[in-house]
Amino acid sequence: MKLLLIILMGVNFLLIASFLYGITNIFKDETEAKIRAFYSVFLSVLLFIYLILILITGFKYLMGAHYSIVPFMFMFFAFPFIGGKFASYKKVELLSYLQIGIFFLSLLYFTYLYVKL
Amino acid sequence: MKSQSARKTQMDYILIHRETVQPNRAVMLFHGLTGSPYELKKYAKFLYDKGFDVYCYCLPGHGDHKIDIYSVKESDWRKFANKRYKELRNHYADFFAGGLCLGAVLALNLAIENKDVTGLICLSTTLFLDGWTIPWYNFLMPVGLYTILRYYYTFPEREPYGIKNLKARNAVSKLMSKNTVAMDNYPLSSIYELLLLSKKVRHNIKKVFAPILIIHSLEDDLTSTKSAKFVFNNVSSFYKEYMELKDSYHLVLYDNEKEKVMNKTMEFIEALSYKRNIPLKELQNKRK
Repeated sequence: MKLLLIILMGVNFLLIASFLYGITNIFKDETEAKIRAFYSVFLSVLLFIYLILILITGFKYLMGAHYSIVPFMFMFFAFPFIGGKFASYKKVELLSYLQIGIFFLSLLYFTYLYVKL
Repeated sequence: MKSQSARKTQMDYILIHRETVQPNRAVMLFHGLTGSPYELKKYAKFLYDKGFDVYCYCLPGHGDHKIDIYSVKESDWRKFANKRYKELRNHYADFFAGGLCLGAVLALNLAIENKDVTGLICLSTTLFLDGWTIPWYNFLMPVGLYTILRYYYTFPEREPYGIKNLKARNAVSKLMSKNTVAMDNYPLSSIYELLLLSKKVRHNIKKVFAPILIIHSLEDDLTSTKSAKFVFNNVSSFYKEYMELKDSYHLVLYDNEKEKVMNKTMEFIEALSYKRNIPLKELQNKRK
């Protein structure tokens, strides 16, 4: 369980750093399309791993009858898709920073879970 | 004057017979995703020479301002197509709609929302993105499509650019690199909108009653024949034809069999004109 949480925290941290770096350096008009595409795939893979790890961690906690984590895990898992549902080109920057904020929250929460173990 | 309050952009391609010849039939053509009316020019000219007035408008989100493609919605495309159609329909006895890729899906939607479309010509209809150049990491698509990542993600255009013919491919790739008549990348947000529109059309496909010609390449690199067969098997049209091309990729109007596409289009339209002189009940009985 500890190992799972460490991996999740690591991926979470990487996701925050990569998102921030992407928004400030990569996703600009002058960046070559191939670099944007490659970086986008990289972010998608990270996000995919993050979501899978949340599911696995949530499932393991549920098996141990720790139901209090369910709302948090649900929020962290669902928010990227909720944000996507309401996203538009005009709101993308705001939603991106909101998403990064949620990633920070999830990192804090997973750290709390790790310390509690 | 037959064209009414058309949005005049540099990229609209409109061919109207004036004064001496007053055709009673017209066709509205829609270009593909990240394309422009330029990709329909030869086809449009061919139909014009056969006596049609031809209307190829530059779709919202396309044309002069590259950034518009990120903010365009599928409802913008639908409303635009409907508006142009309603402006022109009453000026012609016969009015056909057709298109390539996204354009074919739009033409289908037009026929769903307007029962007086005379006939449809659907080239490389894109309802599913399952062609052989779709990347291996396609399984990550939902993560990109349904999150804000779709506004960051772009697929760069790459070989074979939808064209099997090498000479044509080199010419088109040069044009794409200039980002004038076609873009050199597909923003995922625009693909999201295309898939939303495709979903709407798939759900309402049985409401298509207009006669339809579907042309699709067996080796289409972007969308397999699944899309074309889905349309053929599910429309309620009393008259439908399906032609499979064996020596072309996605951009059938540029490729090795472009003349075949043009000739088949005229064959379909002429057959339709002939069949429309036969009472509808008789035609329906013949199909049984």
